[in-house]
Amino acid sequence: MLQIGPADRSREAALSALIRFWFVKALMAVLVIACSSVALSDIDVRVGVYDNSPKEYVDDAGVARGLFPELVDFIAGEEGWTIHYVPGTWTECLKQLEAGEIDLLVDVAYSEPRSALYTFTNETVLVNWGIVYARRGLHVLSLVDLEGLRIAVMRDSTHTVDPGGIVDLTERFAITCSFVEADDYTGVFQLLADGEADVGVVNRIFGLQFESNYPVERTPILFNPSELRFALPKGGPLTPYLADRIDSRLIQLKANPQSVYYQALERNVFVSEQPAVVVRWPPWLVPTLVSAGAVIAALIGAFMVVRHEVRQRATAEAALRRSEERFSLAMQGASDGLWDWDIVSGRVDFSPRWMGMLGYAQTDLPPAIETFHSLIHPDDRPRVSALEGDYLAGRVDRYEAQFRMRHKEGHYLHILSRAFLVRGEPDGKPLRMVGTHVDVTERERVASELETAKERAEAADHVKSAFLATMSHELRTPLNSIIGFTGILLQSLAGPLNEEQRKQLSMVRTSARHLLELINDVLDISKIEAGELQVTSESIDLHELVSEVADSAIPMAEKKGLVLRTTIGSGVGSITSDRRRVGQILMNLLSNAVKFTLSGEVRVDCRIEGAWAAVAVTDTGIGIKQEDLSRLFMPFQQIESGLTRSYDGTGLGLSICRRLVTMLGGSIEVESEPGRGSTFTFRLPLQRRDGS
Amino acid sequence: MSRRVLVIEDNEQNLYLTEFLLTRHGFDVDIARTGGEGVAKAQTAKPDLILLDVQLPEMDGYEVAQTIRRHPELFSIPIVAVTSYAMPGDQEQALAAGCTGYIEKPINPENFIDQIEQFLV
Repeated sequence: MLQIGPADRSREAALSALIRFWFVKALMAVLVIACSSVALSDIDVRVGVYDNSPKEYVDDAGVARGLFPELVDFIAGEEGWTIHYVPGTWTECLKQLEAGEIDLLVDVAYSEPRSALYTFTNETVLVNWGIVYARRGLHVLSLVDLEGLRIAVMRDSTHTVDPGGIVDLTERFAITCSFVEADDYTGVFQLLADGEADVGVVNRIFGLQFESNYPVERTPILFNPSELRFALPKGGPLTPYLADRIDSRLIQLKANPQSVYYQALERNVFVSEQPAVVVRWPPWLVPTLVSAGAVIAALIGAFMVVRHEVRQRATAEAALRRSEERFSLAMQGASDGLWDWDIVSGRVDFSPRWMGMLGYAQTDLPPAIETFHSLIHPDDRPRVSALEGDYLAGRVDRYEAQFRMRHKEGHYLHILSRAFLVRGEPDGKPLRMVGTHVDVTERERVASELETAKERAEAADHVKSAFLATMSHELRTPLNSIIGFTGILLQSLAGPLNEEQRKQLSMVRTSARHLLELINDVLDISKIEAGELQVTSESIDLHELVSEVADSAIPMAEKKGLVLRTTIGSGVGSITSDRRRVGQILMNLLSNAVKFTLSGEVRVDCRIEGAWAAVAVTDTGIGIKQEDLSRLFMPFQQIESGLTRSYDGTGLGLSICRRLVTMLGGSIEVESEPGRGSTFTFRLPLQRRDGS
Repeated sequence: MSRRVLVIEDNEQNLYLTEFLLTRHGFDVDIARTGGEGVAKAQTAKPDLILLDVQLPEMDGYEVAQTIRRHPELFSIPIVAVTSYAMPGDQEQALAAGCTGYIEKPINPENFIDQIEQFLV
C-alpha cells in the first residue's frame, strides 16, 4: 500500500487551500459571467477569409470551409456568436483587418513586424513552413540553385516579405533573382504551370495538397516555420474579448485528442501529407515483449493503487484550471470591475477594469479598502458603510448596493456593487469579501429620463383630463339655458307659438341635444382613456333593465315608423354588473339601430348563454360593408366616413360601447349585410368580478 | 304645503331659467348668486328646498352643503345639487357633502318640476 507521508499531507493541505481559493474565484467568475451575459451574447463577428486551401477557402456555394472556418464555427457555436464571413484576397483581408472592417482574420502567420500592426491570439493553431516548388524537370536542390530564376510568390505572404521569408533569404545569401507576384498560392502554381516563373513559394500544407494538380516538383528548400494564429484589429472593440475566448477555446481543444480541433486537422490538413506507413515488427521484439509482460503485470498492481490518487489530483487540477480560466476571463473580458478584500490584512485587489471604470490605471491607487471608501460619494458613504458593517456582522445576508463613485476626472458614476463573504473555518470569521462593480451610470441616466418623461406625460394627461372636464362643464352651462329656454318656449309656458316658430324652436332643441350628446361622448371617451371611468359591480335585474331601456326607445322608433320588438328569454334574471353602463350600451345600440333604419323593425333579444347574458339588437337598416366592419368600433368612424350629413350621431357611440363592454368583462360583435340590416350582440358575464 | 325654493346659481341665464320654471309652477323662489349669499339666504328665508349649483365662485357648492348640514336650524332642508356630470365623481361628492340628491345639467324643462317634487314629499 502506498503511504501518504507528511510531505504529501502538507501538499494536500496546500492543494485544498488552492482549490478553495480558486473556488471563490470561480464563483466570482460565474457571478460576473451571469451579470455580463447580456453584454456578451449575441455578438456579431466579421471574419475575414481568403483562399488558402485546405486551411481556409470559400467553396462554390460561397460557404467558408477548411480548418480555420471549422474552428471558428465551432467556437462561435460554443460562445453564441454570429459569424459573418468576409471573403477577400489575402491583401484585401489584411487591409480590412488594419481598417477594423473585420473583427477577426483567420490563419495569419505570427511575426514581430505583424504583431506591431495586429493583435494576435496567443495560441497557435498550427505551424506551417514555406517550401519551394520548381517547374518539373528543373533540378533545384538548394537555395543557391535559385540564382537567376524567376520566383513566383504570394503578395504580402509571411513566406515572401517577413524576416526569414524568401526575399530575406535570397538577400542574405546574395542570390540574384526576380519575383513574380500572385494573389494566392493557386496563382503561384499557375505561374509555374504557365511558364511565367521557374520556381514558386507556397506553404507546405498547400503544396502537399495541390502539388499533384500542377506540373511542379517539390524541392528540399523548406524554410521559415511560421505560427499560424488568428489576427484581430489593434484596438478593435471586440479584440480583447475575442482573442481571450479563442485562446481559451484553443487550449481546451488542443488538450483533448478527440476534439473538433484534431478532427478538423485530420480532415483538412493531414489527409494527403503522409503516405501510409507499413509497420513491420522486428523479429527480436516478440520475445522481448513476452519477458516484459511479467514486469508489466507487476507494475499494473502498483499502478492501480497510484491511479486512484492521480485521478483525484487530476480532477482537482482540471477543476482548478477551469476556474482559473474563467476567472481570467472574468478579469479581462467582462465589463465588470472586480474587488477582492482580504479583511485580515486590509489589502484589496482591484481588477484593471475596476480601476479603469473610474479612470485609473491599476497602479494609480493603493490596494487598500480606504481607496474604495474614499471614492464613494460623501452622501452615499454612510449608507454604504452601514451596509458593509451589517453584512460583515451577519445582520444582513446580502450585499448589494448602488452608489456614486468619483471618476478620476471629477464626475460621479453610478456603480452597482455586489459582493459575498468568505468565512474562515471553523470559526466563521469573515476572511475576505469579494465582489463586482458594474457601471450603471447610463442605465441610471436613461431611467431618470424615462421618469421625467413619464411625469411630463402624466402631467400632460392630467391637464388634458382637467381641460376636458372644464370644457365640458363650461359648454354645458350655456347649453343648459339653450335647452331649458327652448323647452319652456315649446311648452308655451312663455306664451303661445305659431307653427313656424314651433318648428324652428324644435330644430334649435334637436341641435342643442346633439351638441350635448357629443359633449357627453367626448367626455366618456376621455374618461375611459384616462382610466377615470369606474364601473360598479351591483346586482341588477337584467330583465327589467332591458325592457325599461327598450321601452324608452319606443317613441324614438315610432317617430320613424319602425316597430320595436323585445324578446327576453325566460331564464334572464339578475346579473352582477353596472346598471347605468349596461343601460348606456343598450341605449346606444338601440338609437343606432333606429337611426340607420328607414323602414322595418328593430328587435331586442335577450337570452342566457351559459355563464353569459347576451343582448342582441337587430335592425333592418342600411347595413355595413364587410370592409368597414373592422373600423366600426374605432372612435369617430362615422364622422370620417362622411355619414354625418344623413345620419345624426357623434361616431363615438360604438367605440364607447366596446370599451364599456370590455370594462364590464364582456365582448361585443357585429354581423351585417349591406341593404339587409345589422345585428349587434354584446355578452356580459352573469357574475362579474371586480377588476375584470 | 309650503313651496319655497332657494336657488343658488351664479350663471345669470340659468338662474333666470330655473326661477322662471319654478315660478310658473307656483313655487316661491329665493335666489342667491354666491355660496356665502346662499347660506345667508337659507337662514333668513328657511326654504323647503335648496337647488344648489355645484360650481360656484369663492365658496363652492360642496362647502355650502356642508355648512348648511351643520347648521342647527337648517340641517334638515333637502338640498338638490345641480351637477354637470363632468368631473369624475362629482355626484358622489355632492352626496358625500350632504346633498339629498342631484339633478343632471342641462335640466330638462319637461320633467324638471317632477324631479323637484320628489324631494319635497
